[in-house]
Amino acid sequence: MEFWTRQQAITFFGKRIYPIEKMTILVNDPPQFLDHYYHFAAELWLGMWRMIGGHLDPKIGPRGETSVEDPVRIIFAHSARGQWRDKIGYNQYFVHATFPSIGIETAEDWFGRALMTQGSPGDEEDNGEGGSAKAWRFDRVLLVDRSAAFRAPTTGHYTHRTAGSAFISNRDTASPYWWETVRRRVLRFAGVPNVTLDYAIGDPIVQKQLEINLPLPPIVISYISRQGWRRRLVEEDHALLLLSLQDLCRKKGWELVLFHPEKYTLDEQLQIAARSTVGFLRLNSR
Amino acid sequence: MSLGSRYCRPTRRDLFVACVSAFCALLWFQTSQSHQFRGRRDEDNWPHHGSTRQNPLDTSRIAGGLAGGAMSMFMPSTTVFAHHAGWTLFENLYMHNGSLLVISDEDVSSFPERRLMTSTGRHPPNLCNLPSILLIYKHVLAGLPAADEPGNSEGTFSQLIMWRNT
Repeated sequence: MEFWTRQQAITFFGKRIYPIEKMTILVNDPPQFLDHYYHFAAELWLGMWRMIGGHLDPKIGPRGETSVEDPVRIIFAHSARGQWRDKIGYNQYFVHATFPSIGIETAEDWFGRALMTQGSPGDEEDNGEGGSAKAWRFDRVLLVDRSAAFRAPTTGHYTHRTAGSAFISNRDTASPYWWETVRRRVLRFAGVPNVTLDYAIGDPIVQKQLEINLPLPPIVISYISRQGWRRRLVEEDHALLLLSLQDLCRKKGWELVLFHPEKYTLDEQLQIAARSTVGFLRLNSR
Repeated sequence: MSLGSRYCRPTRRDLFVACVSAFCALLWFQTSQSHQFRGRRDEDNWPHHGSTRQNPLDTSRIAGGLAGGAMSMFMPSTTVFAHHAGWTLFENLYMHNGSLLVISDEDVSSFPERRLMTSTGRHPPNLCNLPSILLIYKHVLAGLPAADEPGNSEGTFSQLIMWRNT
């Protein structure tokens, strides 16, 4: 990134400035942190909407209603072709379920755009008219940079998650319902009924404002099992845990779901997640 | 009088039929159109988005940029709308030859530190990153043979990419 004065820029580019309209998400990260949906969803996507939704619309409603226009494109400037994708396919799922019309550009396109701007600079005598160098102008752009986030204490020292920085940036002004916009769009795409989506509106005062009266949602415990994968419980421990959970849930009248994610489609996985009060147990470093 | 003109001249009955069918067509298209609009306004049929109002922040910001003289039509100054380390919302950020440009007469110190906005975008331990981009660069621009074609000395790089993607 360079800082230029207006005079410098006018001399260099003349009037050869080409607008890239509306909101762009510019991701300056290497694919290493994009091709896994934990990073993608829990860092990039969470922080992205905390910045765009949180700053541009402090009045996001309890059901995620917002005045913010969808970002028009996302640019993965350092990821080639499919490198930004995860194995399961959740990355694209989140991107397009949240913003169905968003366009995706990758490193090839970024290089192409860069090359198109090359040319000879103009000079001061004719206000840059004589040159051929060009520039793109982003109307609005959210620049996301993982390394930069780690240089400040919020991410680098306290949370170790890039979304932490985005969260801190507007902790006093963002709507308490800021995440509902994305959450509902993704879960509606997955086919989750409105009743289940409204479980999130627990506050009786908000319910009164919305003129709804929701019964208490059922308590659903989802045991996300990793049996059959490399990092897993010893089989007897798994059996014992399951037995204890069944016991607990029977006593309390809760519903228990033994959940092997790999046996379900992405839609179904999200439907179960949306219904769960508590989902737990990933027995690995993550 | 030729045969043709006698057969082509419309009678009163023809006019009547034409009028009636035009009227029916009008009714038909009107109703079907209004159905369409009703369907699209109905939020249940259009599940992704809640109501969208125009964002009031848009116009004020851009109007401020345009007020700065004729050149700002083409080159409004860069402003930072919101920022915390690693996350920066800009208006009118520029790109030339792959570099991001902040174009502004404001003092550099009025912007967030550069190191908190951006980095090289590369991650030192990850060797795949740089070669893969070089490779694409060459493929796209010079039309080099693809990775699996004979005579491609860069095969190792694309193998690295393939390895990353599996």
